[in-house]
Amino acid sequence: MDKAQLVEIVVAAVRDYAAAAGGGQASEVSGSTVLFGPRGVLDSIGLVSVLVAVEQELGETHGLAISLMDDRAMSRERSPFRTPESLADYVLDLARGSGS
Amino acid sequence: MTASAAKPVILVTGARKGIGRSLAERFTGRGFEVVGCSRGESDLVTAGYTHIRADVTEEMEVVALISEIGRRFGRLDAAVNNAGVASMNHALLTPGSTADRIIRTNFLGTFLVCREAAKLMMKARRGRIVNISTVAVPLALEGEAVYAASKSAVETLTRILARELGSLGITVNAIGPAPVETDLVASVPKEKIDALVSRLALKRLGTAEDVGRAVEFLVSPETDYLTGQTLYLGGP
Repeated sequence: MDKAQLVEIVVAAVRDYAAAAGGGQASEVSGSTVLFGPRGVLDSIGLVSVLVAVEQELGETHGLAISLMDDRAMSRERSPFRTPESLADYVLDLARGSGS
Repeated sequence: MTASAAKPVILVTGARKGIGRSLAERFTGRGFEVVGCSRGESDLVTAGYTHIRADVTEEMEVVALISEIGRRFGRLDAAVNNAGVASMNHALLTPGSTADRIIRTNFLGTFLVCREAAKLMMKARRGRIVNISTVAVPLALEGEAVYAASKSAVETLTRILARELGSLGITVNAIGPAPVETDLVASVPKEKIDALVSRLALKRLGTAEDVGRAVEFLVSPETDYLTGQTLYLGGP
């Protein structure tokens, strides 16, 4: 799986969540959209929902069993959850076994 | 994607015997698809019952359990965290290994099942989680320091999860039964049980049916404005 595919998975999860939550920004989400924090499109429960959806998609469709919400993510200087692209990079790091 | 089962699906942990088995039988009789789990096989064979071997203290086994429910049924309406172990002993005589086993099964197991069950429930934005505590918590029973402490942790987990999962349409409550005549309390001396019962408002042991009725109330779709509570049975 390459980065572009991962970005697509994250963007799809954000769009699904935004659509289910009745948000109007669903169609505007791209790889560089700020997900969380100031100007972010997700609130805290939205971020949790998206991360769970991404974990499930990776596990069910791609056979990749990883946990996105572990201590390594929290200890990074820059949050890996900032944008779909940064999250895709983080997933690639985890898949390579170098999530530190 | 798996089509959702027509019937509501309920997971009961520790379903091989005792209260868990009684819950499994109750809910199959109420038209549920019941998924029971335990470390060993079950001899319960009845329509609407599926048994999956899983140790709730093993994270990946819990992940696989909930994943299997998602694959087979496409939904999870309720989860009852019944799996538990007890050990009655003075704190000064309780080995660390016993304390570790109690905490892992009663607290960690409950946490892991709550976490994974909620992930499946949140897709439908509805769900009911019922955790099992004990009257030993409010009664602060001597000889049950570690057991009661593990269940205190379950009660705190219940209150906080209720807040964290409320916006996802998931309620989280706990039931604190009085001692029920199961294998779990069979090893407890009779005078200890009698002393405990004497402190209850209703002077008798509990039954699995008492617990079943309370669980049924809490998992009902109509019980949608009750969360973060521990319902004690027997009047401690």
